[in-house]
Amino acid sequence: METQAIIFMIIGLGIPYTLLTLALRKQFTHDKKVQENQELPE
Amino acid sequence: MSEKKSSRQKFNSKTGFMLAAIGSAVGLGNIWRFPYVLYENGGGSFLIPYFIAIFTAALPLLIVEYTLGTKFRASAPLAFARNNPKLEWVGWIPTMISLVLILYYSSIISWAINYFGLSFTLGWGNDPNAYYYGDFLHSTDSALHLGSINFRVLIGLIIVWAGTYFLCSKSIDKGIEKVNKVLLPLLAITILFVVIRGVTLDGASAGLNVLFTPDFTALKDPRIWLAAYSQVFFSLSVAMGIMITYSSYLPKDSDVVNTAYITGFANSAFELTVSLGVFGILGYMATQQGVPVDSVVEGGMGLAFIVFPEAFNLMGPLGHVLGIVFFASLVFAGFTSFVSLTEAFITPFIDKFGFERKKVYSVVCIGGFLISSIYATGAGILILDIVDYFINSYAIIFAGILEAVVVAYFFKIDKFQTLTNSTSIRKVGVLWKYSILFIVPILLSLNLVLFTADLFINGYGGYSVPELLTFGFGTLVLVLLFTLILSKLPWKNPKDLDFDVEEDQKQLD
Repeated sequence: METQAIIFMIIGLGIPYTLLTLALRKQFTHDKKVQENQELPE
Repeated sequence: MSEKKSSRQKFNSKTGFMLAAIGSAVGLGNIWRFPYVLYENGGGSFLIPYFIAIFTAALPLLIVEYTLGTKFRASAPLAFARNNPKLEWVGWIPTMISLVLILYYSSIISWAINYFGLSFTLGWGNDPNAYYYGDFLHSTDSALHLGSINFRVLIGLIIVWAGTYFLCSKSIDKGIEKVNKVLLPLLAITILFVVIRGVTLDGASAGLNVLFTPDFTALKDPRIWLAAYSQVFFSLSVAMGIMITYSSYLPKDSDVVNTAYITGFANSAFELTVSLGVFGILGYMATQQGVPVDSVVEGGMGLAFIVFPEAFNLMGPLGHVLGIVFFASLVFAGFTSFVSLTEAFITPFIDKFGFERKKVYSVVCIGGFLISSIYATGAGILILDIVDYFINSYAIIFAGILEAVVVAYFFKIDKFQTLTNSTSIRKVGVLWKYSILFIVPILLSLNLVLFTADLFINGYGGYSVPELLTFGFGTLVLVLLFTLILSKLPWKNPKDLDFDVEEDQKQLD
């Protein structure tokens, strides 16, 4: 593959995959926090 | 709150909704449409307007639709009517768009079902291009010349509509939620398998070079921008009423913004990954035939049904297995999107007229089958091409503009922003606000003007004026006509419109 194509492939695939990972991470962290709060004794 | 509102069906889990939303977004738009739009618009050059379209229009509008559904807990027409009864018609436009889409979607799934059967024997022969247009579709030379009925496509249509009836006439959690939990992971695995094989073929790099080498001069062509906006809307199921309907089945304290990001980026990541496989196979075919990648096939909507069979032929025994796996996943992908479109079309009728779910489904599935039979004629692919172009380039873009304008200037953007952020773990800020206020309406209006100008100057696809008038403008006129009729009919329970979203939201605090 040509160098320019490789660079654009990394950018093109990198944008959605990175942002998806960040969004999923945020979701899991939030869900975990909610679950922990629910488990705390009143 | 009325009894009906409180008994609105719900997704059993957040995962169930997320899978359904991703299932709607991930579908034929990614496997069938995205690769051919990409191929027709110069490969790498298309990716720049594509990403710009996602961030400037598709994601902001997806957030708007999730907010409308979750907070107003209604399908598109009811959600708009609850804010202002005079705006009900704005919600019927995407509803009618979803009807047009399900009618032609059913025929593409029917093709995929047929090709799934053919893949066991590589029944498309040595020339998949000739087989597709000739032996399989019996394609005529004009959209106005219907030719004879293709019984194989017709049987596929029966399977699609009957399958939809049996799955979806049940409740949300037993129907759509269950279907997606099985089909989506299966689809992801099968596609991944095809992609890995595609990019490891001899000559695949030639195709990947075309996919990822941008030609900045091509960005001057307005048609690429129009294609990019149409594609992201189609692919993300924006302005079709689906996301409003789906999110209306969520609890009102559900997260809106982050869910939109997850759906949007999952969809984008998926279609780009699929393209790796498609362009890898195109590169392989180009190398085998000794021609440039951009002249391997004529392109167009038959890409998936020509390129892949040709590649499976060239792969030997492995092609048999991959062919079966690929067309099975194409059927699954189409079906998840089809189910969501049907749901988006049916829910407004249940909301407005109080029809029983099972009865509406039986009427829609029988009527849908009868109307979609036109796509089983020899002119089917030509009609589909014209309808797809007009509905995506005009109706969906128009519905997107309306949604943005109504939210920005009738709902009042600040109030809407507060509503969006009220239960979201990630908040939207000024960028989203200005996107809805200015960027979305201006950019999409510009797209519409460009589309109209291009259509009048260059026509479309070599079709004659009567063909474009009958199936292109004719479809748009019908969408508008039914929108007006349905919005004028009385509500079975007018009390459903009495809904104070802010008061409702306060109950959460």
